[in-house]
Amino acid sequence: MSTMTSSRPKLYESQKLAIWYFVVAMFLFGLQLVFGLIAAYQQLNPDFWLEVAPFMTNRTLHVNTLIVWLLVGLVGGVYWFLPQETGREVVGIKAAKIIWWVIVAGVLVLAGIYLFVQYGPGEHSTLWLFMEGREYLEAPRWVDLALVLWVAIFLYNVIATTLASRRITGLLMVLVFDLVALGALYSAGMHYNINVTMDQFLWWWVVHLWVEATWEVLVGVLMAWSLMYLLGTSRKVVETWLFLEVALVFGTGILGLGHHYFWIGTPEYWLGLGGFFSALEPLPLVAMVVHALYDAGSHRLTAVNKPAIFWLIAQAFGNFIGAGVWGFMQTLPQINMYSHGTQLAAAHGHLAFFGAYLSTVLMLAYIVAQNVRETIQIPLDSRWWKWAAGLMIFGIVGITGAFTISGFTQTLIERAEGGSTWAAFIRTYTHPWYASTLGWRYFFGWLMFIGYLVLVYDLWTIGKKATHFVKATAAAAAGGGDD
Amino acid sequence: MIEATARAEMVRTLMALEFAFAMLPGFYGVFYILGQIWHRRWLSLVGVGFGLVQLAVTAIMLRTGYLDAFWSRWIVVVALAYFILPPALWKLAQAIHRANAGEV
Repeated sequence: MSTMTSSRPKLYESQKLAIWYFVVAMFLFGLQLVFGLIAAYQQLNPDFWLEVAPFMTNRTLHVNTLIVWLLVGLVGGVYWFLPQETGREVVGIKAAKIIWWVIVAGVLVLAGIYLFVQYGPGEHSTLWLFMEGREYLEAPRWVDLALVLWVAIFLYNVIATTLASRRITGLLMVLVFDLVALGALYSAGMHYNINVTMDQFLWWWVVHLWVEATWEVLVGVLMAWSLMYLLGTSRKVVETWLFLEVALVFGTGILGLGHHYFWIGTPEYWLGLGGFFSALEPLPLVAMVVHALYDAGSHRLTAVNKPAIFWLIAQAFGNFIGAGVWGFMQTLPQINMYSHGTQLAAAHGHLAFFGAYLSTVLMLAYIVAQNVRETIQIPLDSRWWKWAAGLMIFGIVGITGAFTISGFTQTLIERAEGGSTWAAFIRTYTHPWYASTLGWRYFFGWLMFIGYLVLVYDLWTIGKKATHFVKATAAAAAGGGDD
Repeated sequence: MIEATARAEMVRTLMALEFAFAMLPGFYGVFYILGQIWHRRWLSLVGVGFGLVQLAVTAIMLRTGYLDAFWSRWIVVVALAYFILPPALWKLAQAIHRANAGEV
């Protein structure tokens, strides 16, 4: 396909805000990788920065920055597409801008607290000011409230803009209902309970339902808009697929949550319920693969934006393999009894987040990058995005492989054979299958980080040549006219 | 109480089989759909081959005797669901696109 150019239409204020969302998302992505590298190195050399920022702190920052930058990228995607969908500026854009900068400031303050304060006394003031202390939901209560306020203003933006435009599409309806669930389910994580079973019961609503259900639906909406933009797929088609996928995601995922309830002290029926629905959880993911392949394949993979279409396909495959295969591998109770809480969960988490969400945000970032240049290059392409994608995919596959081997070693030697005794713990952690993987995950982490640097360079430069070319051509033409 | 080595053997076997059980329908779906889109019958047949291997994996899971009656029945139902999924989704995709042909 030959390259064409077109002048960029004027950007909406909402789209200008979305650019900031992606800039901050990419910055936080880099921080996430840095903290991950430090944490990986501390597993090789536990004394490193022990007194400054121990593994616990780096791991918390690695996971929390991941959640924040992915959510920022997904919300940024909605701010990008919303004015195009409704044909008007977003209502309440000033409030959106204010809460955005409040959130950015809050994230920086929180990072400072995690790094320099780290923990406090076992009092309510610690929970409100410094850290909740619960894995993945470490953020103190003031950050929780700020996040809910952020989602509430975002929801207001979407609803008010939809109503003002008098254009209530199926995609917008799904988005509105999903955002209500996004705000409500996050608040479930604020119900601290001294009974650890009850506490964990609601904790999983955030960790499983919030991330694996409401985020998946948000991704579904963004994928639908992206397919319309990248391939020109009809609205009816993407809406029909979206309704089907939402039904499958919620139908299998809500009670699929039960596989997290196997061993936390809940009634025994969760073993049957959780296992039953978990076996069905890959179904919507297979459907998404078919959907993406059908649309992209029927267009012979020709799209207006090559890196974006690559990440769209990567999302379908990565989501299926990371969330579906690596998840189902360990969710039947017969296996999960021995594998839960091992590094198999970390393997599943790394590959699933990469496949389902990182790929989506990078697809959106390339769509935005294409449309912020003065002259839009069609199709958008470069050499560097392929290097970035290759290095990052190679990196994440290596990290996942290393975690899988160490998790398998824990499951077999420490749990199944050793019966979780202290001697079995020592035997596992000194076993070559475990010890050697610590170095591998650090090495592949570096590959991922180099891929990230290439990605940032590519996002910064891709498509700029088209602008330079058009300007040079115009200047040459003007010069010729003078002669 | 199962003896430790036997327990480890059960976990190793079931985990490997579950991995294949979830991965093979993905391969089946990808090859089947690509074969249909690009009109390459052999690709679709390779996909069906993966589906058949998944059914074989299901049979092996049943033969191990590690699953009780409830889980054995459920695994068979899920395996059949995954086996009919790619052709069913292909038909659905065609129907959706045909119904909305020309509408952008």
